[in-house]
Amino acid sequence: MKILEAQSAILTNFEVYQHLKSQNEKHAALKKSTEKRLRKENDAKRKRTGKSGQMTSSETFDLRNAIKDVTRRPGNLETVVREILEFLEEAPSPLASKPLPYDENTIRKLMERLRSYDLTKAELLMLMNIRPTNLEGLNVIIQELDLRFPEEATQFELVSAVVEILGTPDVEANKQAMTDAKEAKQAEEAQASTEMEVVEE
Amino acid sequence: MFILTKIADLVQIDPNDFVKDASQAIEDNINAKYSNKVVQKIGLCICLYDLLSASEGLIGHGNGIVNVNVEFRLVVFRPFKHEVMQGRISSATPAGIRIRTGFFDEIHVPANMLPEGTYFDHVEQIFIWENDGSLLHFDNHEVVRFRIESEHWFDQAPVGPGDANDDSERTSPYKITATMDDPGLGPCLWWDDAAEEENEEMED
Repeated sequence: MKILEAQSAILTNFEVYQHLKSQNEKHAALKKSTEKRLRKENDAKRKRTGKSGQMTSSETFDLRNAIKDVTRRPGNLETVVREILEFLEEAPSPLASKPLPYDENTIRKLMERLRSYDLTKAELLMLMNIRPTNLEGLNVIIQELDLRFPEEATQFELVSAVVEILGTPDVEANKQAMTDAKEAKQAEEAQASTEMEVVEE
Repeated sequence: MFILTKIADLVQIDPNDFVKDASQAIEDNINAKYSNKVVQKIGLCICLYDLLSASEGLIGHGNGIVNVNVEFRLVVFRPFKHEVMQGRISSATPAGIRIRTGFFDEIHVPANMLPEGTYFDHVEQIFIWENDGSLLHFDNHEVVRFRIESEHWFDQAPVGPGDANDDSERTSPYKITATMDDPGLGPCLWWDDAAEEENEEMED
């Protein structure tokens, strides 16, 4: 192994998401076509050897294994791809909104729209990934926001540009997802506290 | 968060894999070797992005393995310094908070990088931020925003029996230190909710 270039490009979450999705689709297509091809070959072979009727269980087993040999992906890949897709589709992430708010032109549009503000590449990348819709969010992403854009109106302009191109999060869905995990815990706590009260009385 | 890394490597295709297309066999081979693994000073490798070039397949003496020299690009998880990311709190100890994303759980926020006025609640085992008299909780499983501060690499190369230090614990090969000490960082609920209320007020 030889590293030729440690960092040849930076990807947005959206690009990674697209890449993984297309890989999955490609793999599904390969699985389908392979299955079709091998079934056909198997049928032809059975005809040649004069077998007919139902396949025996061992024949079915062999065919299934032959399909697996061609289409099985490495297990470590399956794991990490599944986990990343889950992470990217989790609610506060813009990629969780349905339909997908981004398309191939989104990056270009965002760059063009925000060119006059002189943001760095890293800041644009984070805008894409996080999609801030308020000043606090913007303040986190853009360093020294108050120095660079002293007027609050400019800051609001930035936010509205982001909203205009990247869309707004579905507030209800976000809240739902963020509270889902908490609810279980809170219910537990509520029960614990009522028990406490009983004891106090 | 994600970068592309260009790598040159020798791929060895086993005769078992001759039923596959050559490109598919190479891809599976690369993925099997790199996916979900940390390469020192590079990051956590995710999967093959594209194949740049491949040599002729060469077969050596003694076995049927096809050797191919390839150049390719990998998708790698390697957040840059000061990048803002989202994740979930997985646990907290007096030393700090541990955050996970779906695929990576070695992100640590030390106690001194939490907002001022934060203390550890030993009963609930969480951090609480006291701000203007109101108590804000860093609950477990909460979605949080944080900023990457530094990264730490631990080489996992095996050590000889003589050099082995018993006190050296097994650590993860790649750890990230992050901060939540800035307005806008910390649980997303705090900030998104506040903004919503503001909007409502404006509408009123």
